[in-house]
Amino acid sequence: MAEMLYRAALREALIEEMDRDPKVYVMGEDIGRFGGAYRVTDGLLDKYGEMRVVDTPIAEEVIVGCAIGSAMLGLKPVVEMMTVNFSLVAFDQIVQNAAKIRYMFGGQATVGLVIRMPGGAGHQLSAQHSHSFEALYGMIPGLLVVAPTTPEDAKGLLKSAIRTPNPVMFLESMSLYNMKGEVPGEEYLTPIGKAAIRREGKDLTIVAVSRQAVLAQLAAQKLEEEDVDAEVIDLRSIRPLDWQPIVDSVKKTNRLLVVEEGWPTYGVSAEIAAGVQKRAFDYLDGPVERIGGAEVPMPYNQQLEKTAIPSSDDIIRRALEMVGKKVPA
Amino acid sequence: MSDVNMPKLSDTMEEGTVIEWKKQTGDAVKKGDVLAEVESDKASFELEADADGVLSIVVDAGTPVPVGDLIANIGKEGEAPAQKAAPKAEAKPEPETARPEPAEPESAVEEPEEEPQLPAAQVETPSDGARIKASPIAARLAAEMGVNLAQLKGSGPEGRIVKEDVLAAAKQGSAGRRPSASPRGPARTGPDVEHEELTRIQTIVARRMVESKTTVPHFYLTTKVRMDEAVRVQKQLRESVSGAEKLTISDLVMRACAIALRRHPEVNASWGGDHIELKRRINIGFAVAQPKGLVVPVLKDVDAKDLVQISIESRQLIERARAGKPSPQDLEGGTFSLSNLGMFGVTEFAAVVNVPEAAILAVGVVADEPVVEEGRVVPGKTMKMTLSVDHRVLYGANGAQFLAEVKGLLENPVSLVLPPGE
Repeated sequence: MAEMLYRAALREALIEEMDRDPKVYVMGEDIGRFGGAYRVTDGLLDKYGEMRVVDTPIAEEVIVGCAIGSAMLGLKPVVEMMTVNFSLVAFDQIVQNAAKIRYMFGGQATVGLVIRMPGGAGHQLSAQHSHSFEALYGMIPGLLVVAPTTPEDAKGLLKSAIRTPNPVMFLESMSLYNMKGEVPGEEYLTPIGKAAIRREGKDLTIVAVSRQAVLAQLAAQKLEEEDVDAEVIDLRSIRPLDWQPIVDSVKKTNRLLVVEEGWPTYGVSAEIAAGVQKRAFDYLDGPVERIGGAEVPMPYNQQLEKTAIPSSDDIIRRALEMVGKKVPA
Repeated sequence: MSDVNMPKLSDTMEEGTVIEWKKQTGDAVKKGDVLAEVESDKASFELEADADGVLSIVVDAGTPVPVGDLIANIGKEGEAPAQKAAPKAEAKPEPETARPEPAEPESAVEEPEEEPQLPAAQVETPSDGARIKASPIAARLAAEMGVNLAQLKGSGPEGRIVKEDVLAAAKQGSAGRRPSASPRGPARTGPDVEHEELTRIQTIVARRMVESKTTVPHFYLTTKVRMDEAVRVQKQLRESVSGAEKLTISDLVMRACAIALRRHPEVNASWGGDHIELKRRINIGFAVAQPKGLVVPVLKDVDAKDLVQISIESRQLIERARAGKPSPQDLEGGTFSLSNLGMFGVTEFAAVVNVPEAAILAVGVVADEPVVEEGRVVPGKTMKMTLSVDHRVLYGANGAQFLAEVKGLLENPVSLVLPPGE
């Protein structure tokens, strides 16, 4: 075990996989000479050269299109979108090609492509640069969508993503790049499609995705002082969803709160609420509760932005309501 | 004004009768107050007020009334018929008829409230037999535990009956509830009898049990064993021998049976139609309960195994069996069987012979009880065992000798501790 930053864990995954497999290459805006907007690919150009560390023009559709083509011919592209917001420019390539080619070609071509992209709000980047698109990508059949929240998972999931023959939307979080955590010294893979139980509890289940899973753990620690024992499940994988631990947990706690930073309408929390009421209806002691981002374009104003993003206090208050405890003013 | 109607308390109830009004016209009543005792075709129950206000009785006690018909009103003070002295002015504004209060301001991150706005009378009047607001798990537990939701006050949001309420009511138990109350809450739906498909194991067990009970002439021998020494040895081994940390009484009985079977080979046998098959190997099966059914994994060559091996290997077999993953080899080759229900407090029972084996030993709980030793009553540990025997293979005397052997081994357990092959 070594303590490591989230961004360094990602870099380690890239290095290990590029060393392992010469077909793996990285591509994106400012990832080579500049080392990446969030320094994830720092040093890779010197190590692997321009053939495998490709700086591109500012043209996301072209980047992803090239990556898809090279993946169909057997390379393993790991594309960086500077942020998840810019992936909208490449949305057509992602949805129409990356997600469908394997199906439409009857399996004769596969798209083993990873698109890494940080998302999330909280940095006063305003309406166009503060998105959380877990649900947007999570609804597309043919894509795998993951959102690691710890350095260990960042590395383990990225390695798994590079090795799967299917397109993976790898959702990083701007707010987590400087997070420290233990990372195993030996080689390991974190499986795609498995949620992580971050904390066991008996009073309610909090399922959260991406950075909200970190906030949910903070909330659970504080809830302990209020004598509320919350179980926290970090979704990790948005598509496919790992229902078993969620359902098992709800059967134990009888209460479910789902938290996401993105807009909740048609969101991850909506999907989980729908699935749980179907799979554990007879175990629910109250409606499935949801917390999501405010349904507005993200405000630039700091206070307004803060109010628009779910906080651990929001989680605490809702949890207290759900277990019938007094909610502090 | 809130109507009080004759509630429907059972599927078959068509009319009910107020036996006694507990409140009178003009009385101020509060939500939850008992208004009357009402009798249905099956039971009598207390009818509670579902609103605050002043009671006005419409139907006198003793008159049968069809379900759903008006029997009283609860009105506001001003509406009360001026028959009696002015009612106490403690009636609060009632939630049913009060104008809606302005909703509390919600924080920006909260979702819009999506609770459907049902008519108040439907939402909050359980005793009229209409919809009762209970969480799914509360409804399910109430049905399972025989708690009548109509008689519960919900502590959840908006008066919803939640799990805690049902558990509390069940804990109060029959003392708290009227014994005559129908256990069938209105929330229970669906047919009275459910059709449950058999699992493969249930099918097999059913077939084999019928085969055994219809083709094997059973007889039963019961004995009581002093277990003081065996329990002491078990404790000593658990504390001092590596691998024996989880040694069970079943393991000791298993070892005793293996030794006894070696000494009484006629018990380790099967009926062959026109001959008796004596088995050379001593493979003892033991019944392991599964959620649906049971399996009998078989520990092979038990006579060649010491207690530690028996303990470890039988635990592995049990784990595989409980997980529903016994291998085919785990289940074959048995020559004798054991069944222990002692962990459930069963004192003694008779098992069904596991064909084609000749006998099965059923073991009860190790109990502390007074025993007579040299004319004095002293505390002792005892255990009852019942041997079920196929009378075609064995006779009373054979079975009894075998049983006495097992008993003797358990009462003097030093031979159980000796290495196999004594």
